[in-house]
Amino acid sequence: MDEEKRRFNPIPVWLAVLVSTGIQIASVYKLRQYSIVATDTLILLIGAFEVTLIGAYFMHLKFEQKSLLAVALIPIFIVGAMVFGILASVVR
Amino acid sequence: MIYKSKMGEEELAPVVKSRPSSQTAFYAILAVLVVATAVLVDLNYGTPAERLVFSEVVIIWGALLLLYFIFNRPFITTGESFRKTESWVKRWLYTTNHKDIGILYIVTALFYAFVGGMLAEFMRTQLVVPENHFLSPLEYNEAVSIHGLVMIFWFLSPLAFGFANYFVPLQIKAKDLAFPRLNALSYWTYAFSGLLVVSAFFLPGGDINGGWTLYSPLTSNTFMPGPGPTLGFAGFTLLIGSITISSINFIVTLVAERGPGVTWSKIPMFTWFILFTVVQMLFAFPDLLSGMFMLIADRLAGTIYFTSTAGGALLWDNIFWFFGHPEVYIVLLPAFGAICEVLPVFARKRLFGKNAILVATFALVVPFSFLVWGHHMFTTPIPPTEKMAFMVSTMGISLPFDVIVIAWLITITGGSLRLKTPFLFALASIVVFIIGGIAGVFLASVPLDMLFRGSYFVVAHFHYVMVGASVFGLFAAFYYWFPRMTGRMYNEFLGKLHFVLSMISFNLLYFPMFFLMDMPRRIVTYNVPSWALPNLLATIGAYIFGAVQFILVANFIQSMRNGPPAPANPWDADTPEWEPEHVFEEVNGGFTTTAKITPALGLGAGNSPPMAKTPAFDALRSSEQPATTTQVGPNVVVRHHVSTRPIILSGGISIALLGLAMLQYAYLGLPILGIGATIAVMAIVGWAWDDMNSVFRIPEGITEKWPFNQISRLKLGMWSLIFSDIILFATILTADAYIRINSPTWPAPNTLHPIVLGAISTFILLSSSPAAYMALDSIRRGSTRGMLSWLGVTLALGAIFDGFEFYEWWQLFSQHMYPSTSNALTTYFFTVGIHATHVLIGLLVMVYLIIKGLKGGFTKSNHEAVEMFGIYWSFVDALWVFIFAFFFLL
Repeated sequence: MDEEKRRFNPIPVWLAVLVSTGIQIASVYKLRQYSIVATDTLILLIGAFEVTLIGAYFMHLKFEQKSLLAVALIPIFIVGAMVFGILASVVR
Repeated sequence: MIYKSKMGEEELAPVVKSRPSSQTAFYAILAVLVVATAVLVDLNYGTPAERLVFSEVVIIWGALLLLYFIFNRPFITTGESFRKTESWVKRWLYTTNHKDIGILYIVTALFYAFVGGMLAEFMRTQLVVPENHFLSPLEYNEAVSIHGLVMIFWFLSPLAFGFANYFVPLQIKAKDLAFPRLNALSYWTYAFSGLLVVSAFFLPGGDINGGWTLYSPLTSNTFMPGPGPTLGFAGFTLLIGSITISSINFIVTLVAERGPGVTWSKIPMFTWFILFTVVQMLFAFPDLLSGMFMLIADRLAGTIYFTSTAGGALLWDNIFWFFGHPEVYIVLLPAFGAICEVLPVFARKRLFGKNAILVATFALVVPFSFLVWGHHMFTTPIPPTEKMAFMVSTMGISLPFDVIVIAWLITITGGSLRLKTPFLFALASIVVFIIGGIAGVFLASVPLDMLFRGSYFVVAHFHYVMVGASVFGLFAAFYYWFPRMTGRMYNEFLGKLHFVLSMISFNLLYFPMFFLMDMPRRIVTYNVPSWALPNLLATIGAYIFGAVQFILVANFIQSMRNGPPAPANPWDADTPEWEPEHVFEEVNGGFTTTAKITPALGLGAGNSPPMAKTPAFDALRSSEQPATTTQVGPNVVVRHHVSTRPIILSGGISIALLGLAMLQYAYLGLPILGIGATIAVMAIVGWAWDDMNSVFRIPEGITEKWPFNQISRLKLGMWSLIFSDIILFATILTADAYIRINSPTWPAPNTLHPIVLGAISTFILLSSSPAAYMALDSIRRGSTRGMLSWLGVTLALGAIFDGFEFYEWWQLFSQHMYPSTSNALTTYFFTVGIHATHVLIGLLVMVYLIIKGLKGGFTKSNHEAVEMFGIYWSFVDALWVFIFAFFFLL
């Protein structure tokens, strides 16, 4: 791909990641007292959002061929199977 | 074909002046001082305090050696000096050529087969009669464990990858693997890692003795103390590193290095199966790697992953078998690929259902192999629902194998069969695989598995699959490709004798074990009369099976020396490895390219006549690496690109691991660790120096790369590495979560780890990703100064982040909180430590990039390394997002 098309302004992405982290931290202080499960879920979802931003922009996945993106789903599938399978063996 | 370089003359390898002999002498004296001091310490000379001083002296000598190397580069040699070298030994030590490395893998794998085979003979001798005392219980346990490990990891897979190294590039018309030096590094780390594991027999504590599955807590310091087992685990970990590098190399080669016209539909079956294998390796082995890191941390750093009740045996079982079941297919699939090559050639028919085989393997076997591990744990207390799910998935995975076997049988049915040795072994492989496979279906059933688990029925099953199907398939490959590798034909009579005796003795060895379904495996002796006969028969079979393998070795040695010259294509095969290849040659002092068959061993008697002669000296100089030369025929010299770095780096790491294993037990551990680390650092610096000066450069050629046409070789390698690292960290965090769920108490957020401290370090690290991007953006615009500035900012932010982590560690230590204190601290220290190591590696890479940038190594059009670094660094940042959440917020 043309190098010019791969350029972007990193500041908004950076701010989005930092603000997201701030929301995660704030949720520990403000929301956890009401529901631990909901707060933890929110923190993990925001974390996934941050990782998606980092992957898309700073790891350039947004600008790569879609085939690479498709291949990146393989480890996610395997990780999903592993997490589900291993943690399921704790639940008795 | 001439690999024309796109580079200009200014990118030629620089000429380095010869170093003065005085420097060499200084270097040698320093090395002697290091060794002498280390020996003095080893001899326990003086009081403990004096020995400690000696150790420190060795470290200082080692540091001097390192400094000397950095500033004088004593190991840096020019391509010219290699070109003058025609040393046979140097060729094999320094080669990076895929054929040479393939041969090295095969020979080394046979050596380890001998080691593993001898251990098996010891075991069978112990069990030949009831109440035998040939081996002590500990020796027997060591023999069982190391036999399993060596045969699976140092014989079966490496033998297959010997063939893969040799033939995959030929089958896809690539000039070599994508990263030849990494290929050599993979080989040498493999070879040395095996030596570490075997040498552990001679250290205090003996070798690993908890079975090849390394079941916890048998592997803990409590039950398996001493430096010997630790060294065994360290060697195994080194092997996993080798395998990961190799997987990445093969994936990139297969995806991005296929020759012009070699589209996916034209790839031969063996290469397809190697692709399936390396994909599984890439995703399976990082899981085991993280398990091994935890295991070694438990032994050396006091963590309690596998010794606490929260983690313990079930956590290890899950981690090991998540890797362990794909490993069965990793061992099996290359043999399947070879069978797919051999059957149609000797049946003189096309392979039936080629696409069905490929779809069945790639769409079902590969992904499902990661979904069936629980069937190895039916006798553990995992929930019944989970057992049912794994039972269904395990039975389901047998279906694609039915498709494969049926396709093979239809292929040979009605064919005009040639009963040559390769075909006979391929046929034998199918027969024993069917027997082993059917036995495996029994074990997929929960109630039957409860009966058979831990008995000799299981031993028979997996030996029918692993030894029968896999080894016989690879023997078929051996005989099939022998003429291509050596230029000679093997002795057919000896080949058939080898087949007949192997088949008989194999079944004599393993079939009686099916009847020992009530005899527990791994017991050192027995006194049940009904077990005596099957054990006696199995032992006789073992002796014969071991002995007849020398027929194979004798046949090959004799045939390589005196066998009749092989025709260029003795089997009338239609796959590309039998076609003439285009090589650089030096004929009577002049360089030409010619098309011919060039065996890595032997005299090349089957060479086809030269098809083209083109003056190619200039192209050679601008695109090839430093080379040695080998005489393969009258006036014909084949060039081999070489590097000293892989063997030195592997050797250094191995010595360092030896020191690491001895650290807790002997003063000598620290100096050995220092010496090994020094050698390894020297090699890494040399490697970086080579890259900085384009000494070993492989230009991107014109290749088939669909569906990754716009993605470079290096980027594919980087993403493959990241994929494997994702599995590594996912395993660690899953283990952390497992322990957390199982722990009766866990510190609430902001009690053990202050959120403010974590938040500051998180903001710092997350700010470094945009800085790394700005460095890339600067050099894209042609601003070297901008790039250097932003790299400096990234470096500073990364260093501050690591500083914060070490500060928090220090704070915890000062409050007497160590990895062994609690489950929470075990997971924290280990996970953050692994992440901090990733950051540290990134910092070192940045130092390299900055030095290269200062020397003008990056331009507007040449800055791929900066982009790759940015991807890696951002990945490390992304990992921290989850680690921060897990330890500070949840």
